[in-house]
Amino acid sequence: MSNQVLLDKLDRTTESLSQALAQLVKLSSIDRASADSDGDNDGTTDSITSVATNGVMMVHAHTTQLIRGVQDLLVITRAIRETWVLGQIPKKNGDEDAIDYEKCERLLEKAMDDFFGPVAL
Amino acid sequence: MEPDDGHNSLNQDNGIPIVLDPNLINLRSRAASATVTTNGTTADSSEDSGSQQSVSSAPIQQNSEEHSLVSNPYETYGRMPLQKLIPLILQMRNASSFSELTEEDLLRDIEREEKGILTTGLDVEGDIEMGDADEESDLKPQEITDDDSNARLKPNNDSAIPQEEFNQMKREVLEHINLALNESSLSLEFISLLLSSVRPSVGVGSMSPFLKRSVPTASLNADKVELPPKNKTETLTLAVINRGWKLRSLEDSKALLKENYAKLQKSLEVEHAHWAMISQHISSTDVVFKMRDRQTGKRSLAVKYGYEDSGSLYKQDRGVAVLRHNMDLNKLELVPISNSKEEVHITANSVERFMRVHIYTKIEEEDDYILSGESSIDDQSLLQPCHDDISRQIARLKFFIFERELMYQLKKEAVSLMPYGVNFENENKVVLESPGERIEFEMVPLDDSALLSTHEPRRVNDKRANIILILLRMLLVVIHKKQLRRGLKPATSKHKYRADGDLLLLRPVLGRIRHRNYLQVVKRVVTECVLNIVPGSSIELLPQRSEPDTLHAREANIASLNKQIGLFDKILRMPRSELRTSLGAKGVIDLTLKSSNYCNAIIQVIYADSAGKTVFDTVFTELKELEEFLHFIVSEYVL
Repeated sequence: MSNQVLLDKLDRTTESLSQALAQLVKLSSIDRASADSDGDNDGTTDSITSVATNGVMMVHAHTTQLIRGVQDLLVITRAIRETWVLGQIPKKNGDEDAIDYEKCERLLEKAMDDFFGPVAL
Repeated sequence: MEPDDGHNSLNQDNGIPIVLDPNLINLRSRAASATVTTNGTTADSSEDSGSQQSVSSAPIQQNSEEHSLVSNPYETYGRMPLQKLIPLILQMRNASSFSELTEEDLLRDIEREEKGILTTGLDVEGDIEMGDADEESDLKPQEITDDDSNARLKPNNDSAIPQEEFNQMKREVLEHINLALNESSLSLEFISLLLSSVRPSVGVGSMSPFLKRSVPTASLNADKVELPPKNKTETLTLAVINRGWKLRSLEDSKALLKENYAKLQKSLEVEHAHWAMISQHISSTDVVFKMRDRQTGKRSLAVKYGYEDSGSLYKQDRGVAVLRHNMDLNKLELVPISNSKEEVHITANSVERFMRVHIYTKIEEEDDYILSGESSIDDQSLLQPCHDDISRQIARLKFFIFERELMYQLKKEAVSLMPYGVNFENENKVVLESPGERIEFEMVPLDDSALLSTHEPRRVNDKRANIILILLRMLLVVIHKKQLRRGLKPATSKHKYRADGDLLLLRPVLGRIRHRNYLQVVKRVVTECVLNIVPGSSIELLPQRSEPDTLHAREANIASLNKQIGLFDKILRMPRSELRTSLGAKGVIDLTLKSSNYCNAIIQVIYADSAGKTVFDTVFTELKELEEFLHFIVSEYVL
């Protein structure tokens, strides 16, 4: 995932989180019902079913939205971490990489002589 | 219009009928007196279940406004007003009231009819007719949905019972479906009609064509019945209920949040620990990639410890391990996965073997070998299995896979070296025999016994054993590097080739040993044939001419690879020795001992006389021939 995608996703998630939270607060307000019934004609005919629907369904939906948002955030952090782990570039350490070829050759030769013995008549 | 013909053509022409009881519409539209009330509708639909739905069709309706909609034996009854029809049906059924006329009864009747038990045969004519109609309309749904089943229907009635029952059930299900469809389209029509007075476009849009034609739009009206205004108590009760619901839903929400919080908190902790461990153990030098863990099905990270990226062509084990988080122990586990599709994980015992070199020296007088050298374990830390330290686990896995590959390649190479004294003792042991010495390369399980034997007092050849082991490992790395270089080079020589000549592990070692022995033999021959005979002659070994490095590469990586591979050129080069036997004033014999495959011996003999003119330039592969030839030269030219 590219940075922009991640950022976009983060924005979207935070937005939906705050929306869900706002909705939850709104739904949990006790004044709302009375305010609605005053202003709205249908408010008086609020049946028990509509109350139940509003209450249970909406609150549930927003709660799950809240939870999903948090889960999304976790997924994002995971993605970031993955990107970090997979995106590591091995450090090129010039000093250690330098090989003293002549020394190696000498050592190799010595080892060979140790093993095979000097080639001689 | 012939009722039956019309009926048949209908079924053929339009397979999908409008699922609306035409009789009902007919009744409604024609009988102005029959005000459509809810009661009427339910009665109609109940009656429906008895008569089944019939097929309506627009053309017919156009032709005969006054006639019945379908060719249905029921049509005579259909024209009757409901008030008359229902009592008639009740009479036929011997039912006292309409509510007694249940769907189950009717279905049972239909079933009886179908089985040919015409219990109602003696009844009034209308009843028999009705039975026929029932059967006929009963078949219709099948025609609608499945033509084959209809064709098969009759024979099936006579065949096995399960099939019969199946058909029966299928028919019932289709009946129910059609019924439900009918009901819902009826209510849709009702609503559409109702709606068409206020919102013509919406209402007309959902009307069936038939209804549009038969009923003028906006002809149905409805009044809203105002509920009695709530009194104070009711409002209060509602408010209380409202709050109760609110409280309850909030409680639910709280519980949900709490539960998920706990879950997420836990997974967060796990995740945190997981990544902390990864950051602790995985360094930037490890090859990490995303992979789906086949066993758990989760997405996870895998570490590649195999040497494929370094040029290894070892395919027996890809060298991939999944980083698995062990929930129970809350730690990270490195689980090597096997190459095969099955979930067979290589057990620790089969994996953890390392190569150990034993050198046995022949005891001249006893004709037996004694152990004179053993390679040591260079990294003692490998001995302790470590489950906590991922980087050490990786190091172990790397070590073992390398050793496995080394053995694998060694065995592969050994096959071609059989004629030169290389043998397999078992699948884990390759033995190289040379005069006076036996070198065993064995894969030894890494366990305590392996550890114990390293504590024994040092032997003469311990160092040599170590050298040969390290040499073999380095040669394998050289092979890898060569492969890597091949991959880096431009595509000119990209064709995949893996000549045996590339596999140089034992071959150079064996070649050197054999070369030394050949050299001694050649020297002996020369001594016998020349030095002992020609006075003043001598033999000397010419210094090795080092061939200039011809490999030049512009690219830095290839250049360094070239350099690194070049280090081993001396070892990898075919052994070659040049001997010069000077015969005093009688010229010079140059002997070149070389090999075409490291292990054989090719002897080139060049005899130049005193004037420096080359007299002979021949090549021998047999020492016997060399001996004879030297004899010949000495006797013919020198003496």
